[in-house]
Amino acid sequence: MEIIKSEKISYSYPVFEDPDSQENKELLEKKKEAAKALDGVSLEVRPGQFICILGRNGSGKSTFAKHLNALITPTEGTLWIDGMDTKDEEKLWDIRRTVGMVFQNPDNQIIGSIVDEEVAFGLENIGASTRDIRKGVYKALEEVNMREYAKVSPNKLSGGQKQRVAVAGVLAMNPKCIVLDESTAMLDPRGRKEVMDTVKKLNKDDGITIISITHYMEEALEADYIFVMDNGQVRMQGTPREIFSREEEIEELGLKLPQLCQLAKALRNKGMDIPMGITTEEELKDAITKRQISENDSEITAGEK
Amino acid sequence: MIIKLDHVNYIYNPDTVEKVIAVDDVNLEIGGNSLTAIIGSTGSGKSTLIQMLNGLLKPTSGTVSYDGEVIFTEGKETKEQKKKIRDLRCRVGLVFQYPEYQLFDETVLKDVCYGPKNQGFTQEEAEKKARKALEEVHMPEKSILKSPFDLSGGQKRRAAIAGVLAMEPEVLILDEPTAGLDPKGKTEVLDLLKRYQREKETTVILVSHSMEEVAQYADRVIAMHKSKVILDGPTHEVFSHREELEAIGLGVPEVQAFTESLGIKDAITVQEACDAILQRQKAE
Repeated sequence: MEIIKSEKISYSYPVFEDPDSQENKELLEKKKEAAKALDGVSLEVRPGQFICILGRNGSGKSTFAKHLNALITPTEGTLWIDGMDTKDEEKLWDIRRTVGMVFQNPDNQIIGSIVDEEVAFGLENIGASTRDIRKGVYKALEEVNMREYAKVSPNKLSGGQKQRVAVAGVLAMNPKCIVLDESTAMLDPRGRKEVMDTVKKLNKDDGITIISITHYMEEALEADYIFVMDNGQVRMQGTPREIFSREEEIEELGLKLPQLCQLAKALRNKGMDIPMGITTEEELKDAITKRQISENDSEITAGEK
Repeated sequence: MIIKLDHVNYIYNPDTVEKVIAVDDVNLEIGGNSLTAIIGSTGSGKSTLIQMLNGLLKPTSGTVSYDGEVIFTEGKETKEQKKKIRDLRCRVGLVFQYPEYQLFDETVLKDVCYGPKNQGFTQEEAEKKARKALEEVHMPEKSILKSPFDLSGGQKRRAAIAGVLAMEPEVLILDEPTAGLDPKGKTEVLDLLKRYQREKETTVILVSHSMEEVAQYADRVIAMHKSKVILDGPTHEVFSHREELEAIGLGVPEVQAFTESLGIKDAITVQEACDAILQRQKAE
């Protein structure tokens, strides 16, 4: 069974309608149209996948993310999380335990005054026993490599460490899926790497499904599968190789190729024989050096003759 | 304008157990016709440093001078000094992180007028300056009478930058001007800053966490680590210190790391990498 199954979901942010206002109908319709953030999104995610969602600002990525743990529910269509309809209010807490969210700004989501208290917050809320809380908290901190900071105040941590604590808080609830909504956007390069390495490990070792929403194309290169959104719709989907082969479309959608792919494209435009859809340094290196080898080969053959 | 920092220190909560040295004995001269990038990991002192550059923070010790003139001195400021500090903040414009959160007025135009009006310009003059600034950030004519909240993410950011440009600062400082923007929005903002800097032959200073951005746009790079400046020089020069940069958690642009694995040095942008690879192939 899919962990996420979205069937033609649409969502409009509420538009305030003043019954006494003489505001003309046309303008109201326009406002309603503008408030439409998702427009018929259908997609499926299998357990254990590492998914990236790309798209320009305002394309609907975050609105979609908020659906994944039922912070909001579709205006039209249906979203199933691990077989549960997100509109089923009885399943609300199960859904929120299944999918954990980590947001962009670590300072807006950390509330505890000591790291282990922060991580315990979710477990305390569901009424876990003291023993279970302790066990869960320390296991989660271990997993994100923050065990030694358990008794530190979160405001003494770097951005990357704070985000790892936020991941631990989610992890303590034993989720099947973690959603990262631009969780690396405010971090320095090391912080970004720490967070990405942590979630990659959780994905690989524990089979946790990861949905990562990001503007860093380099992060998307390592995903199993990518969805590109625009205007509230899924406009492209495929493996990184498939997506980054469609160079023109990527740019039309307000995105940019990762530097490696930009270099491949630039060399190809200058007449070098570089295949489409290069996604790793190794592949590009091979493509560049192979050309040299094949030229050398032909010289040798010519010499022998 | 040349801003000169001489043995500048900044300490938060001095004389307490919570004492934090944020800037430690920094000596710098920034100015002239250049786009300077300040890099460093979180907590390395970048934000404190730039706030001292426009007089928002007063150094705990050491002096900051502007074209040779020292504005801050020990002890309480006189009335005259206070006026000078006020003027200084107009001469050195500072754009904070996520500046669009500070947009507030009914229309983009009104919002951008706010600065010049505070400087004492008449409505008419302020509007003229605002329109010019909005033109500089390439704001479409049809957007300037819209509510700032109806703009896209990249446009909002550009409107906020225009708000500072309208005060016609001699030096423009921006704290992570591209954070949170999509790739196209990032390119728009950086292109506009570069163009502005070139046309006015002025000084633009920006803080960035993206080495790729820095390599492509900056003329000079200042790297901070643990409150000190540890590298300072032309962009290529600074990125040739790969080991030091990696040791402080920053690293070099992806494309540079890649070309170095091919044995090519000094290519820090995609264009340079492409040229270097082609040239080498030609030579062989």
